[in-house]
Amino acid sequence: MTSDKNDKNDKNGKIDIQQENNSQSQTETNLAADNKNSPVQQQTDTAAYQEDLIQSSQKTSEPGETQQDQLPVIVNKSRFSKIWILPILAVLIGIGMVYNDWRNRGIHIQVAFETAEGLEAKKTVLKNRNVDIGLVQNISFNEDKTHILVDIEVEQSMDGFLVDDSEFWVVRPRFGATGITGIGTLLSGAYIQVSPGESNIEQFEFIGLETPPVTSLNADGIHLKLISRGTKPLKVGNPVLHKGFEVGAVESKYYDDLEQAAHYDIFIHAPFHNLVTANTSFWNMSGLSITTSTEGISLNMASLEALVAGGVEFGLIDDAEAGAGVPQNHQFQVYDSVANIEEQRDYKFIEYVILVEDSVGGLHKGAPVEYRGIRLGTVTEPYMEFWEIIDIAGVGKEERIPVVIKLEPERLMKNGYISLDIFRGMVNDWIKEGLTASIENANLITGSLKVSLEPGGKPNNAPGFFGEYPLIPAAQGGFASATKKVENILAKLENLPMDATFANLNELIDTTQETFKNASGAVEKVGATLLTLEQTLLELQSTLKGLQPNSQVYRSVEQMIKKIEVTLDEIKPIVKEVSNQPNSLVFGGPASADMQPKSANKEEK
Amino acid sequence: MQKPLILVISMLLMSCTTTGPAPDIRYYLFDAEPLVQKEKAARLIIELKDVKLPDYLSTNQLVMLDSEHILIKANYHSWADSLNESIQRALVNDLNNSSKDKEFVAGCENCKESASLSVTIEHFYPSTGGKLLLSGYFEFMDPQNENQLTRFQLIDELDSDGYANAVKQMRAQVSDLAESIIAVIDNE
Repeated sequence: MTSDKNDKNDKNGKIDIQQENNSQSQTETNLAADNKNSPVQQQTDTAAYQEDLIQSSQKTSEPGETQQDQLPVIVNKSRFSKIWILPILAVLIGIGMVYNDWRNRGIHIQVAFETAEGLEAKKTVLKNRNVDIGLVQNISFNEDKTHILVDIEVEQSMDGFLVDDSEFWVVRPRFGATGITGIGTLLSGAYIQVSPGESNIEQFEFIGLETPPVTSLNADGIHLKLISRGTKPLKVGNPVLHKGFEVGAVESKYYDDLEQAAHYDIFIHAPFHNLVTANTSFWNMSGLSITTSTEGISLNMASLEALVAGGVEFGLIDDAEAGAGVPQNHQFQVYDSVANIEEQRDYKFIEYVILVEDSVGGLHKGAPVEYRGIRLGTVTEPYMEFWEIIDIAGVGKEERIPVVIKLEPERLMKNGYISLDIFRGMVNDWIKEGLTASIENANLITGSLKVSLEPGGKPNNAPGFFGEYPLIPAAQGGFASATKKVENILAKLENLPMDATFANLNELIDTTQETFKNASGAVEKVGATLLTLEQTLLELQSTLKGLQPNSQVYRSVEQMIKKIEVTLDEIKPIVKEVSNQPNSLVFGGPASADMQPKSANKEEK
Repeated sequence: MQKPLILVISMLLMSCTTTGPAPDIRYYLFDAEPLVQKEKAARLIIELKDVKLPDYLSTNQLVMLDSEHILIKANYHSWADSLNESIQRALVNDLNNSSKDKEFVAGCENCKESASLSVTIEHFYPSTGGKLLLSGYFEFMDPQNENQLTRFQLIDELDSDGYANAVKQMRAQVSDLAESIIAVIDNE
């Protein structure tokens, strides 16, 4: 079919391009129809057709006509359109941005605080050592509205801070026992501080601290627990002192209402933690304390810093040995003062009873019990309860007052140890040998009493008991002993050498006469002194006269005042001129001469 | 261009500030010609305690009565010395020269039994009307502490114009006052 068409073209000699195109499309159609069953055949036919076209065009071309003008160019159509390049680029950039955002996205954590004071979303930063490592994204309430939840986006590289025991707190201006902190945030605004923990467990939800931690988690030292039953409270942040040096701080506190004692957590920095041993005592350094004791009045005052802020001091008292070291979180008792350590320390004791015939007025609970002047115990009860006496002795059978005392042998030995049974045996031996107890005056100012144990009484081979309490025999005290003492004084008065005393008295009178003579001399001297005083007054009078109106000084002053007046008069014209014409100081004024007196003769003329 | 402009402005400013020169201040000495006192055998020493002046004269400016009640203080005519002290010196000088048997002193600390004299001047000035007025009173206390007060008023006519002549005549008027005082004391 194609060969027929080519023959036709040869005959006409000229080819209509439209016809050619039509014939080509027709050819293509035919080809398509033919090649439906054989694609290979289709390609072969197309190539043959193109060759035929070229040959026919070469045959039909005449001189003066270019082959290019006459031949159609067949170009294979690209299946990908250029218009798709831009959307594809946009999609790629978008994917890149999403990926970049995903990659740079921080770690989201949530910290719970009681209040959001000073915190602002998108503004408040998370810091560690003043380096920004995160930003607060959102602040919301928890479900029961008791806390606020702060959502923070932390930089990915800072994930090391997000472990189980990390601590978060808000840094804002605070005024506390340790002074003013966070002043810098007045201008910069509050921020959240994080202290990295040591755990390896990753965590994304935290409970923030309401107050900054006193010591960092990484600090080296020892954590201890203190318990106080005294009346001087400590505050969080108060210093822990050793011989006046600050070596730690109070970290937390709480009051146990059941136990009625205050509990404190303290931290002592290394290397001072080695100073804390089993025999270490802690006492409160707060404030000023004035104590009266049998030794008199003592005033204790801490350093000015501790006086204002308070503090707790520790150390070994009364040359006690250091003893063994203590583990972390070991518990110590904290006493109100050093003086109270001896009093408030828990000693092992044995209780005894003394049956006192005289008054116990002035004897109070806690009064000292001394053995030959050495503190050995404490008065437990200055008088036993009525019902207890009845239980022990029966109704109305005991008129004496049972005073319960406890003997504490540990008071005699700071570093040693003594068994209570051994000590009980010792005391029993003392009682058998004649140990007696008496109530004596402890302090003449306060009128307080003490129990004094003295040997030298009647030996007592069978120590008695009052109920379950062993008895220490009471010596004669109070009024009875006072009577005896008066008798002794009278006896001594009788033995006084009266004659010698009178002789001494005569000598004393002679001496007194001499003293009077000396005194008359002294009076004369006083008279001379008065004369001098009179002269001095006269001189003073003459001096004052020098200041009277006729005096030279007065005249000089008067002259000076006159000169000042004259000078002021001279200034008056200048002031007047300046007030009339202020610019006269610069430009000068009219220099008019003074008016002068006129002659009388001239007027007549 | 700028330099000539600055020069012109400077000259203009300088011309503005140019004024006539102020007159020189003249100082007048009231007792300019003290006379040497002659030696005399004085029977009585009289102390001239002080010469009191009114406030308007207690200044170094010379004053002049312009009309009935207007005083003018001179700006360029001043007293060289305090006027009351000058008058006191002049009076002592004149009194001593006028009296033959009395010794007048300005101050006497040891002469407790001497007489004393005090002068109070109320008016002492020239006027534009050609008059010169000196009035006031003096008080003489004799050794017996008897007091005598005498008023005086001396009016002269000015011979010529000007303060210089006025001062000269004022000095002469004080001499006349001294004569009057001597006359009163001698009559005692």
